[in-house]
Amino acid sequence: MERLPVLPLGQLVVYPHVVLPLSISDPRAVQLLDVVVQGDKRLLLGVVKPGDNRDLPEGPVMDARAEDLYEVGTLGLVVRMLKLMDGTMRVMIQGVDRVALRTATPETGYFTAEFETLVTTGGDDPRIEALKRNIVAQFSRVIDLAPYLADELHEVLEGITDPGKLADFVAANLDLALPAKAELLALGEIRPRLERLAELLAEELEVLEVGSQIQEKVRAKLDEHQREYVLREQLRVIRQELGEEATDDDVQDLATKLDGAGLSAEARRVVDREMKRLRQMSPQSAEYHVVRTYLEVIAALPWERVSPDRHDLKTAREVLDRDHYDLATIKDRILEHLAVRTLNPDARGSILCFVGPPGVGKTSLGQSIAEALGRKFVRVSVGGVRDEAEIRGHRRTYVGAIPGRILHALERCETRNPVLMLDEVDKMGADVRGDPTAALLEVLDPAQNSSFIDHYLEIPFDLSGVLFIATANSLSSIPDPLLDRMEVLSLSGYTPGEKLAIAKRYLLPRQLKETGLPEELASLADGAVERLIAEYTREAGVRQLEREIQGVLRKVARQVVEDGRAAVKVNAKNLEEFAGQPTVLNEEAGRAPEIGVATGLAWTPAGGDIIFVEAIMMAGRGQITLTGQLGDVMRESAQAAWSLLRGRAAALGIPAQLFTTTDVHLHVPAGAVPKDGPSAGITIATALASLLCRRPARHDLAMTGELTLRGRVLPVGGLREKLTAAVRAGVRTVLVPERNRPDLVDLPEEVVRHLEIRRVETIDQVLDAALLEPAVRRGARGTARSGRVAAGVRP
Amino acid sequence: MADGSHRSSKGSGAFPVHLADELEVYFNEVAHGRPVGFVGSPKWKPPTDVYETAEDIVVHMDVAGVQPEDFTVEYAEGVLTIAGERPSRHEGKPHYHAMEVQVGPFERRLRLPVSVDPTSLRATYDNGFLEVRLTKLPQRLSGPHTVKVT
Repeated sequence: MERLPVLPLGQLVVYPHVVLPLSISDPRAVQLLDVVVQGDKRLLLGVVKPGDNRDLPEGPVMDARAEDLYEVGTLGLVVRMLKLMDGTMRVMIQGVDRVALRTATPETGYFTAEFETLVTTGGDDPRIEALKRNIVAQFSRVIDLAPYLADELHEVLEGITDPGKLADFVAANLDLALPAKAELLALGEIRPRLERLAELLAEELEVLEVGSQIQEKVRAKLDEHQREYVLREQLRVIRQELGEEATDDDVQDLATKLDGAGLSAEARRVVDREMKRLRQMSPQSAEYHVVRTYLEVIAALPWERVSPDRHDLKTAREVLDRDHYDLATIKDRILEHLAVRTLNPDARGSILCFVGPPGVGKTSLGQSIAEALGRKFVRVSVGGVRDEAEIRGHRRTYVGAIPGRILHALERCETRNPVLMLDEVDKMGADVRGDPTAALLEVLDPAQNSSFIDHYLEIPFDLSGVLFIATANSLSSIPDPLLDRMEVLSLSGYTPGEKLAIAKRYLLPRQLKETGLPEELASLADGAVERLIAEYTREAGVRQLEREIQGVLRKVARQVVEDGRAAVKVNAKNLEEFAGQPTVLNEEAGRAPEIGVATGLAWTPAGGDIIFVEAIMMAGRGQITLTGQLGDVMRESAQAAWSLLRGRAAALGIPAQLFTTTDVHLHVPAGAVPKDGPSAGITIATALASLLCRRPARHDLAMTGELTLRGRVLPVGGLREKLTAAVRAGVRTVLVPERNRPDLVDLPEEVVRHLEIRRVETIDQVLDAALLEPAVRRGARGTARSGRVAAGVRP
Repeated sequence: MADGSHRSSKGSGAFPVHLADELEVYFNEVAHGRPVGFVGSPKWKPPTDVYETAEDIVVHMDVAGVQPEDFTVEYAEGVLTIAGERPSRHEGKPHYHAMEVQVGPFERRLRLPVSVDPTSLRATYDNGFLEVRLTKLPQRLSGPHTVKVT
């Protein structure tokens, strides 16, 4: 038997017909091959069994003994050999035949063995063709799927017809475990070899298919990313071409702006974090814009910027006087505030609340204050606001979130110490979205607003430098906690004299300018203005008056332009020509003392007004009917007055049976206007007393005061407005509660001049003053009747 | 196929080992342990040119060091078979540093692309090249031939 050197190979099985390159560095293997190429270049290739804990190298394992090898091996032929400079060797070995290794004999560095060629048998089995086709199909699929097999193998596969060679070819190229490879090598009979191979192929195919599915998914995902990246790059280039680029520059600009914004330490921290996020984000993502808007808002806020306060009291006074007539209390308060600021620049901002009827100049006063202080003025109208978020902003998580109006106003005025006017605070509402007044509490509390946190910003912002001014028409709808934080300054309505002064000093010059009329072309005599005030307007402020003046001047302007008149003088006599018929009739005009009618004074958000209380008697059973949209408090005070008169019937000379045989109806026009409050108590009592005693009540006397059952007169509010209204209505005498004495100081000069103010403590004093003597009754009967008719037609 | 990175990922790479150049590439790049070829027979294949002249089809084989009488040249059924054996030229037991010259039995079977006259087969051996010539037969006229059944 022939004997050849054995090259034991780890991890490798060389099948017949297969050409395999090997890199050989082990000197013993080099020596072995030297010997082989000296001879007929044939050698035996053994397969080292995978041991328990031997991690075999892929290639020659010269330590292996004959026992470590599988019995089956390959007869090989060295077709190429090349020695490299480092002593290693490269050989190309071609498998020739399957062999069985027999008796091994050691040589120096290697061993030799006898061998027996294993002849391939069983090629005539008819099932072989079927197996062969199956293997070709399966391996074709493997080539497609396996990343380690080249597509060229398809061609080679097609060229092999011999089933034995086919099996060897497939086995050589398949990534099989070593025992399986050795097993295939050992199968000399063709059919079992093909069957076993078909099994192994099926397993491999399964593994590959799962792997390929996974790979497919991964690739799909990668492709998507790739696609997005490419498109983005293209977009960037297109933008650059269009000059729209500069995203990075924008971010840089933003960073610069933020650096210069004088952020607080806390804001700085948040901004740094958000900037970092922004830089990592794609400018196309929705979140990018959210973050960017947020940072832009922060950059725009005046964290540090302040306008220097003007501490010049004289200038301040001049500004205030220039813009507003009188209002001494308010102006004093402003100047006091300024004085305090001059002495202590760190004094906490105070919160003023101007309360008064429309048109008295609350808003424009705010502007003047800002000018006097040298600060910026910003107005925030909170009337009709019912959402807490309007004040404090939305959380950033909401789409389109923006900061609240307070911060927005500061952003607009660009300083952190403006005069901020919260207009119409009494008209804020509350609903399911929260109570904005509650949010205002924090804003307006000097102790808290140095760290006001807006929901959007979520960083404290210092509002303590802001001078808040709130305005309201009425205090009644402002919640107490809010009112408590503000210093209330009342602006009552103007008297006709004041209005005249305002008209002459401010309204007329302004409207002349507006209409473009030079002063020498148009003049408005005092008499005309007085008539406008008395007969064309009925208001506490001067807004309507200004409109009337404007109307007159428009007519004048038309005459000047159309008819070419040189100069137009408007006076009391020709006023109708310009202003039309008077729209307001004086309540007192043409009135006379009447039985059952008393004049009261009322307070409304639009200023004061006079009201009439009418009472008539009819046959009945002592019932009293109350009408005129009276509120509960007013109805009760009417009941009290009625009871009081019944109780004092004897003293007042009222026949006792009157209370059982007559019904009384008390009405307060105008019927459509809701009325309430206790201050008409003495007026109601006077009207009833007048009716029951048949004594007329003075028509030029008005009164206000709450009445107790014991006949005492209690103080009331809004006296200033009520007295102003009395002057306007032409009343001569006014009865006011004694306990309102503190309100009577510092009254407008006009009130003092036109009115006789009598302070009363009891109902007796009221009736004494208001009711005329019974002696007049007989003579006045006719008058009273006609007076009632007059009352019926009064609008 | 000279792209090394492609091969390392694809393992065994391209096959037709009959092309000596292809083998060269693999050999020099160390596709260690990976099958790089599959040969149908253990006989080696000398590099061969096949070309046509006006009359002949010529087969030129680069196979030096063979005695002319050791060649077998056969033509049958369109296939030209050239076989032989090249003896080893080394003396004694030399120490090799490179071994590229293939020795031993070789065989090439070539399917000729044109019709030839089998009787015209002739072969010469000169300067290490074997030249085999066959006279081409005139091309059959194109188009189907029909014949009448009588």
